Formats: sequence, C-alpha cells, structure tokens
Amino acid sequence: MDSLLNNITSSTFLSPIWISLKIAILAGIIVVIIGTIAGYFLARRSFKGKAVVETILMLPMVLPPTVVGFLLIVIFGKNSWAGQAITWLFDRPIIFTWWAAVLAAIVVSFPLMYQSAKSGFLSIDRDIEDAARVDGANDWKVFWLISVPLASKALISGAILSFARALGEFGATLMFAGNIPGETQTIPIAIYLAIDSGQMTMAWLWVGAMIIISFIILLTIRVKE
Amino acid sequence: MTQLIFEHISKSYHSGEPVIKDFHFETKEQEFIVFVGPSGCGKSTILKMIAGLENITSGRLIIDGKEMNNVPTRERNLSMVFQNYALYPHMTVYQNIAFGLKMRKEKKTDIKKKVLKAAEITGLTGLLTRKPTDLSGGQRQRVALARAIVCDNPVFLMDEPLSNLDAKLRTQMRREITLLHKRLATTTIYVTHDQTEAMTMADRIIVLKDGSIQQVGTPHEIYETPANLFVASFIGSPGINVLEGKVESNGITIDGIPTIFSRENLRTTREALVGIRPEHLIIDEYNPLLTATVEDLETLGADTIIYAKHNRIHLTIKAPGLLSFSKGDPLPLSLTGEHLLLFDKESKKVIL
Ligand SMILES: Nc1ncnc2c1ncn2[C@@H]1O[C@H](COP(=O)(O)OP(=O)(O)OP(=O)(O)O)[C@@H](O)[C@H]1O
Ligand SMILES: [Mg+2]
Repeated sequence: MDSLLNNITSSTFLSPIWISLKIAILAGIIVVIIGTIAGYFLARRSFKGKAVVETILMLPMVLPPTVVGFLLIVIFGKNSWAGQAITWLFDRPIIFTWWAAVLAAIVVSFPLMYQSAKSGFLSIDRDIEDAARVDGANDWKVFWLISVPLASKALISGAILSFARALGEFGATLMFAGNIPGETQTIPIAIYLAIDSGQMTMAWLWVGAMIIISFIILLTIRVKE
Repeated sequence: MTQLIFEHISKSYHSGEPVIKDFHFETKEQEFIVFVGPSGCGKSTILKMIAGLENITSGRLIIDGKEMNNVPTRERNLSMVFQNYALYPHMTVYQNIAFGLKMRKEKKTDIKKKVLKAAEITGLTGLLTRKPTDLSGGQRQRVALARAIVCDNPVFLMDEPLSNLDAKLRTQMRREITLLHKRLATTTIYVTHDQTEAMTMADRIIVLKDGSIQQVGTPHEIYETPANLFVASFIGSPGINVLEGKVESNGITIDGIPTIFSRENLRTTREALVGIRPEHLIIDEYNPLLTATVEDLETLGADTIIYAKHNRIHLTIKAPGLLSFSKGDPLPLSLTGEHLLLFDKESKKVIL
C-alpha cells in the first residue's frame, strides 16, 4: 500500500501527466482559435481551389501518425528551410523539444476542430447574420455576437474532441518530439515504454489516469448538454 | 426625406440566368411602394440588393443622391423585415429588438424606452423575456417587425411582414405600419402576396414577373388600366374573366355574342382578348346579354362569388349580398361597356 502511494506521488508518475495536460491544453487553445477561424472562413467564402484547400486541412485526420511525424521532421527538421528559420529565431531547433510535441498535437487535432466549426457555421441561417448587418453590426460583431454563439454547440464539441485527440497523440509525437523524460514524455509514450520494460504497475497507474481524465472530459460534455 | 433610384439594375446569381432584368425605377420621397408578383419573380432579391446583402450585377442603386453599390450594409441606415423573420435565436425578444440600438451605441435608458415602445405597438409587451423558439409564428413575425421599427431608419424594407398573422391582427398591423410610415416619414418598400395589403397600403404598386417590371402605378391605375393581361389577371380577387373577342366596326363580339359596345378609336376589324372583372358582370333578368349556367357558389358574407359556365367558357361573377342559386340554374348576365378591357392576342398588351 505504501509503495502504491509512493508511486502515485512520485515525479516519475506525475511528470508525464503534467506534460500531457500542458501540451493538450496549449495545443487545444491554439487549435480552437485557428480551427474556428478556418472553419468560418471556409464556410462563408468561395474561391478557386477551395476543395483542394479543404482536403489538405482534413488530411492529418486520415494519414497514419507515422506519416504525419515523418512530414513534420521533413518540414521542420534541422536541414529544412522552416527548421533553419526556427533555429535562427530561437537559437535551437524545434525537433525533440516540448514545442515539437505541441506542434504535433496541433497538427493531428486541428481537423477535428476545423470540421466541427465549419459544419456549425454552415448550419446557421445566413439571413440571421444578414439581419445583424442590417442592424448595423460590422463583420467582427456579426462573427462574435451572432455566428459564434449560434455555432457554440459545434465549437464546444469540436474543442473537446481536439483536446482528447491531442491528449492521446502518440506516433507523431514520438517521432518528432522524441521520448525525453520530463520534457516530451507524454502519458501514451510512458505507457508504451512501461509495458515494454515490464513495469506493469506504472502502466496500470497511467492507464487509470488516462481513463479518469477522459471520463471527466466526456462527463463535462454531457452535463453541459 | 429619402429617395431611392434604381438605374437599369440587373442581377444574376453565379453564372445563371438573370433573375432581375433592367429594373429601372425612382421612388418619390417618403413613398410607400409595394412589390407584387408570383413566387420566384425576384422581389426578395431586389430588397436584398437595396440592403447590400446581394451585390448588383449591373446598374446603379442611388439612395439620397449617393451611389450605394459598394457601400456596406451597416452604413446604409435601413431597416428590414426578413421573409423568414431571421430572429436572433439565442437572444430574448427584448435583446432582439434592442440589438440594432446597441450597435449604434445608444444609451441604455434610451434603448429601454424605445424597445418598450416598439413592443407596445406590436403587442409584445408580455413576451419580452422569451426566446424566439418559445413564440408562435405570428409572434415571431411581430418581433421581426418590432426590430425593424425600433431604429427609425429613413428606409424600410419589408418582405411579407404580415403573412403569418390572423385576419384581425393583420388589419391592425396594417394600420400600424401605415401610421408609422406617415409618422416616421420613411421610404418603404413592401413585398406582399396579399392583394388587400397592396391595394390599401401602397402609394404605388410595382408588378413584377420573371424579374421584369410589368407595370408601375397607383393601386387605382393598376386595377382599372392594367398594362397587359398578366397584370390584369394577377391583380384582383377573384381573378378577371378572359374571353375570346373580336373588334368590329359595328361593335365588339364577346365569346361569339355580338354587343353594341364599341371603341371610337378602333375602326379596323381585329381579334382580341376581352377582360371583364367579376364585379362587372351583373345579374340582369330583364335585359341579359347572355345566359350562363350556375356551377358553384361561395358566400363571403357581404358578397357572393358565383362560378358559371357559358358555352365552353368558365365565368366568375362577384355579386353583392347573399344570393342563393343551385347548380344548373340559369344565370342571366349583362355588363357595361366602360369596364371592358381589350388585350392584343399576340403581345397580350392592353389595347387602349
Ligand atoms: N442564393 C441564390 N442563388 C441562386 N439563385 C437564387 C438565390 N436566391 C434566389 N435565387 C433565385 O432568384 C429568383 C428570385 O428569387 P426571390 O427569392 O427574389 O423570389 P421572390 O419573388 O422573393 O419569391 P417569393 O415570393 O417566393 O418569396 C428565383 O428564381 C430564385 O430561385
Ligand atoms: Mg421572397
């Protein structure tokens, strides 16, 4: 019993949880913002090549995480154009850092937010937004006072799904951010390694933590409804 | 104080056929204009172009001397009642009505005063805390109306604002809108399918068909001297009777029956369509022009509508009072020459 308590309060156990939560929260916030804006833009505008853009935005959802990880390494790796720009700006490459894990989480969870936001905005009767324009609202006020509240259900469920997806991200994170304890080792990675090295108690504890966190997330949606 | 000028306005949606064709028209100041026309003829589209919610494909829209084609909606200072209400579903009735005033950053106390006043006019005082989903169709329509009238803007656009109200409320609101129009001195464009509204409220009526103006005129002009057969049949309820006719030097033949009616200016023999309004066919036992057979009756209270048949032609007669006929009864009818409308058989234009 004592050893269990020791395990739970140990930094070995807690560290991946904090890292996972911090990554998922930051990635979630960023994804909610850019996913909402992208969803609104694509729900309201039509332009040449729109179908291609929409398909590209949805790609990370269907691609295997290893493909996403590979592409992230190619795009942001030490030798790439973007990678060198980041190195020049921050004095270190992004690959194998906490920020790489955030970026991987953003990429894989973005399609969920974007898709929910877009269908939420599409379901709004255009006349309601037009009525607000007639009433003197500018584009920003129409968006903030009419469109966002009317799409709020879709936005909230998109946000929660994205957060959950970011929390569960494994493959792309492992490839792009690596497994650095205390920096990029998230719960899913920790579970994988624990099983690999026969530490079944630790694996159980992390699995339990994951189930509790997921349960709380899903419960909040139900209660909100 | 406001005048709207439409200069040869045309509109087509993405790549399609034009839905508005060469709409050219000028309102007078503070005029009450009513648009009528069959479903899909472009009435709502014109309203949306005035509001800046649809762009104008070609032509110019001028409000108070200023070209409006590229002015954003919020700067046009107009109010609009949408055909499907378009209420803000997440706001209460009060917030719906107040939204426009808030956008203009009016003072809270002023907003409250104006909202309460608009709610009183539209009979919504008891419903201010409700959400639109908890309202009946007629109540929602009144919220849409209140939202438009609360902002006393110089231009008022109304897309069938009374279509969902019961007869009594409709009469009452019709009166309110007319009074408001006078009091606020607005220029109003009003779309309706209701003939009574068109005839009683309009300074001038515009009759539209397939995106083209058929006629512009006062209710009286439109009714008495329609420009073509379409206007004649569209306006008037029940609809006008149309019979085959022939103009000859000694009189006009209607449905094969020679009459003594003639037109001074028509000397040459020609075929024509003869339009006779239902109320201009008179039941006349002593000196009938023709005797039709009664097919059906509708009693409207003050009037009776009789559907009858003569040869192979169906006739509609509107007679004052409560009459009783049975199917198959003979119906002696006559008419007066001054009410005959003649239309060219080919062009369907009126022959004056
Ligand atoms: N967004 C749109 N895209 C393409 N065509 C449209 C669009 N909106 C309307 N139309 C077409 O334009 C024409 C005019 O439509 P509009 O809504 O102005 O008719 P209306 O006179 O208001 O009809 P109703 O009396 O049924 O309201 C119709 O043929 C309609 O199909
Ligand atoms: Mg319409």
